[in-house]
Amino acid sequence: MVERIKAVEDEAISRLNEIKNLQELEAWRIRYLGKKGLLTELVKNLKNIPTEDRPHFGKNLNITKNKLENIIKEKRVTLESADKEKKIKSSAVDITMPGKGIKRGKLHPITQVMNEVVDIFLRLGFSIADGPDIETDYYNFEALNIPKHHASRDMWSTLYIEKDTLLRTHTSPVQIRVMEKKKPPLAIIAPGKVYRRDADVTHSTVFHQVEGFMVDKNITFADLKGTLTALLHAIFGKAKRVRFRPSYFPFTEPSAEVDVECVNCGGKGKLSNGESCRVCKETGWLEILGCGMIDPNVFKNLKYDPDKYSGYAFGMGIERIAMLKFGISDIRLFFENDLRFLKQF
Amino acid sequence: MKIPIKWLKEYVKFKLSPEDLAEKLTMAGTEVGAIEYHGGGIENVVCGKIKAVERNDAHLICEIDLGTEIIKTITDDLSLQVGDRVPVASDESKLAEGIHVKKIALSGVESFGMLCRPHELGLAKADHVMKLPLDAKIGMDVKKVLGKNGIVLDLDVLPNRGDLQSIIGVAREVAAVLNDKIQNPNVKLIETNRKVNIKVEVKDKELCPRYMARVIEGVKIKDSPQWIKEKLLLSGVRPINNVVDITNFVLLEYGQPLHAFDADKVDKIVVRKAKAGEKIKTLDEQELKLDSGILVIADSKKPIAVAGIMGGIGTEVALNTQNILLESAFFNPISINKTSQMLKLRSESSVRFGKGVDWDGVAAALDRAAQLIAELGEGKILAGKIDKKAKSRKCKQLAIRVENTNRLLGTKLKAAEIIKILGRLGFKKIKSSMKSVTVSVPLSRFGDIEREVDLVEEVARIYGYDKIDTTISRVSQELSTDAFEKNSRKIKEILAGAGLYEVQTFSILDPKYPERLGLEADYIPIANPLTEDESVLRTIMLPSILKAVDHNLRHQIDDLGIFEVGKVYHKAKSYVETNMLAGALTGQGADFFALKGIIETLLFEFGSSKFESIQSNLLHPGQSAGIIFENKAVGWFGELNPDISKRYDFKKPVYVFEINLEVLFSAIKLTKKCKPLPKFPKSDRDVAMFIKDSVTHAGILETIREVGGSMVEDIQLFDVYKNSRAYRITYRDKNRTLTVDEVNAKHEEILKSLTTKLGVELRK
Repeated sequence: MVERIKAVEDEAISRLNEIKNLQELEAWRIRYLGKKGLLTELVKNLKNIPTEDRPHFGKNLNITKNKLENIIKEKRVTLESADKEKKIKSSAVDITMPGKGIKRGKLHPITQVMNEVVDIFLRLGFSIADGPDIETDYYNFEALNIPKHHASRDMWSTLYIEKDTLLRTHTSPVQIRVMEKKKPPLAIIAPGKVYRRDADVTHSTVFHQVEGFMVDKNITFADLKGTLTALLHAIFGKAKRVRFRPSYFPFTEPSAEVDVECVNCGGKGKLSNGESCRVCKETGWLEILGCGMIDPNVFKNLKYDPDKYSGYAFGMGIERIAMLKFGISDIRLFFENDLRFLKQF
Repeated sequence: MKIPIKWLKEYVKFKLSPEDLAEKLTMAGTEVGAIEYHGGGIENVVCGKIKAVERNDAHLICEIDLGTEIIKTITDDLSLQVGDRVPVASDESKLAEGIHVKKIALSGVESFGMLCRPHELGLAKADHVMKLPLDAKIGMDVKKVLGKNGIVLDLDVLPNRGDLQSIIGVAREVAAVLNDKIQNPNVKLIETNRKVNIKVEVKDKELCPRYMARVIEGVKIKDSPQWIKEKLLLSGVRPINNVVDITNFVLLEYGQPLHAFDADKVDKIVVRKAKAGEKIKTLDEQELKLDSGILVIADSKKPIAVAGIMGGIGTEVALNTQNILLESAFFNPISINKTSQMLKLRSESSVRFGKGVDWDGVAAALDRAAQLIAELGEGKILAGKIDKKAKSRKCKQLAIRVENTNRLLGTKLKAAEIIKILGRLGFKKIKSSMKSVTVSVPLSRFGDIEREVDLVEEVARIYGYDKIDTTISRVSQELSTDAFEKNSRKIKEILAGAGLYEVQTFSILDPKYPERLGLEADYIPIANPLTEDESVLRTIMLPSILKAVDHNLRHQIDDLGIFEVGKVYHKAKSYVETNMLAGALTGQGADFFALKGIIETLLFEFGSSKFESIQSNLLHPGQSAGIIFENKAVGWFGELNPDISKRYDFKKPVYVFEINLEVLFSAIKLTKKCKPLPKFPKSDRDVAMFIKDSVTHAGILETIREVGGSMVEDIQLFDVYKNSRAYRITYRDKNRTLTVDEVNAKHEEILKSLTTKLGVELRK
């Protein structure tokens, strides 16, 4: 009996060495350790052995069984890890192959810049208002302190629909429309399309502006400076210098033009190769927006008391900002809507 | 406004470089658009002295001393004389852009070099060879001869600063900015005993509140002296003759437009409104029809000038003129602007009168010009001057409150500082306290400085905007929902996420668009369009979208999906503007259902949508659908009608859509309410079938729902091939677990109904 046990053990160990994969290992297990395996059969055979010999054989059988079970465990670990490695190897991919495309479109660069500007003001507590593209002479000009035949009307080349009806030349009429309906405190921005009778590489008959204004007691020119400086730093970066210089708009007094350090030459007026900067025409500054303290005449039309309330207003062209931000030299590109252009932003 | 630096320095002394001065002026509100260096880029042009001239047909042969050599040059300028100093270029010279020197031989005489006209040196255009000052050194580089004469500041004068349209005005501003004083020209008139004899009658004192005139007799019309010509050229004005040049010179110096009439051709002066039907031929040879709103200068019979804008032919100063009637006036700015717009006539005069001239300058400029004409034209000034005025104008007095100034600016200025700043600008203090300062406004600022706030601006700009603090304040206003912005941004994000690119198109279009789309032309036209292509407001988004499609297809971008949120415009009782969403899909992967999927995905964000068949001339009759959102018709989509496609020359089908955002947004249900999640399991059963052409998806759903009732939770179409359809029906009861027998029985019932009602053939 002991010999038979030994013979099974020897055979099992020698066969194990030839095993190359998990299936063969499983067949091996069944042959020796399975329900009907050779070793199991021997265990079953114990009952035919004289009672006094059973403990001896039983002990031997147990030793062999444990030995084989340990061997198979080890072998399984080795084979499994080899198997895993093989699987990983065979499922490796060429990571330079293209991703499976989720086709995504993009927002127009004008919208992107517009949203950026609007979001900055929303965070500062402003609300959005809008007004019609087809405006009256009253809202577009007269209520903004630009009387008929005044020299300052030359500042806007206007497209007319009929007498006293026109395509708004700026988003400023929204100021009047809001203030007619509401009382201070007010902090409003009005994004939208505007129209001028003017077209070249930097001027478009249709373009976009964001108008903004704040009216309350004790709103100062210093507030205007602080707010717009924050805006321009958010758009162009904190390192950029910003300057306010006196200007003239009929609807603000005092008025200012806001310049930001040239994004192309860093405010030097010359490029690093010594050539003169065309973006800022060598001035080192880029004119970005117009602003000022709302003129008392505007308040008077609205029956606001200019001694009680003060406010600032500003207006900026979105295309201009987008052109500077993205390095676009021809405004017409925005409206051609060439996908090769739109994909870049 | 062009300001030659050297001329400016005759009135205000400063040592700043042109760049530093430009910076200071800019930061005080007068932007220097450019600093021009005349003679810049000019190389190897030297000063030569004419030693001898010889006439040869239509030319002069000049012998010119260059210091190192003497050359012979041919010129067609017959006015040159021995002794003149002129700029001489050789074939090695560099001249103003685009101009080259060529060696030529005329009438057998070889010519070396060229005598330069001003524009060839980058100055204003002129007929004659430029004459350099008589003390210029022979052989000297012409850049050195012109020296700082050649530096010109080009100012962008703001519309409210009529007072800066003159050298003296700018000198005043420079003095204020630099805290310095100005030196006015010294005008001394010598009058003859004889008195001014012309009769002047101002009939409209509203439009002409002041009219002044002098008469100078025995004037010799000739070339101006070099110093005048040089200043005019640097200022961009072409010299003509001494009298005209002097009026232009004084216009530049004082900002006061003057007009010189030939006194012998004018019997009297009547300032009046034109009579209907009157005509005038102006100096630029236009025949203008006048109407009764237009102010004219007339003689006893007819208009001889459009007041303040342009003189007429027939009374102008000519070579044989001897006696000059010199006009200096103040015309109503509004009336000048109106007339200038109406006649489409702009001049140096109209621009200045349109912004308002200096009341006192009317007299000062008249005397200055009379003095110069007498001196340079050897004329005699008749005693006295005509001065017809409505009433004298006095300096306005204005108060500025210290607290109000600081309230607006956010500064902490004191009365003394305000007085000092205003003093620099020529505002004289009348009285002051800690709280308030009263000043008198110089007449040169009349019309610009009329209110307290105008003084506040003057204080701010001279104080320096850069010295004012930067603060941020917030206001406590009611929060707005900004619903349109929120929803339209959502739309844009969803559509971009679905692979479409946002476009931005013009809302003004070519009036031919309705014809291409087979629509009625009911657009709103623009009265004064810039181009035909941009002359009407669109009533529909489609043509703008198709324009963008067309651009891309023409540039070999064949696969595209685009959309836009924009407005369309209609005229009803008033003008109506409607916010729309529109877009297009074409090329690879584009079909009716691709677009439908995008629209479904979009609308799923806002509520429930369905589709119904519609008839539209814009769409393919078999591939067109109306979009219903929360039971409201909000738009349409489908394949662009092949007829329209053909007109656009589109080779592949284009799928288009348009949604009215006003209707869509108003139909959005504001509240979203949570439903409990199912507690009991579902059972799925599939059904596959062949259908007849007449059977629709909607019909199948309807049949299943009808029979299935509340047991059917969901129906998914999961396979389509030709007329074969496969659906998965999900059964569930929200209160208990359904038994297999129950589900099977209901499913059998549904299958039977599909067969009997719709005649489908079940696939086993």
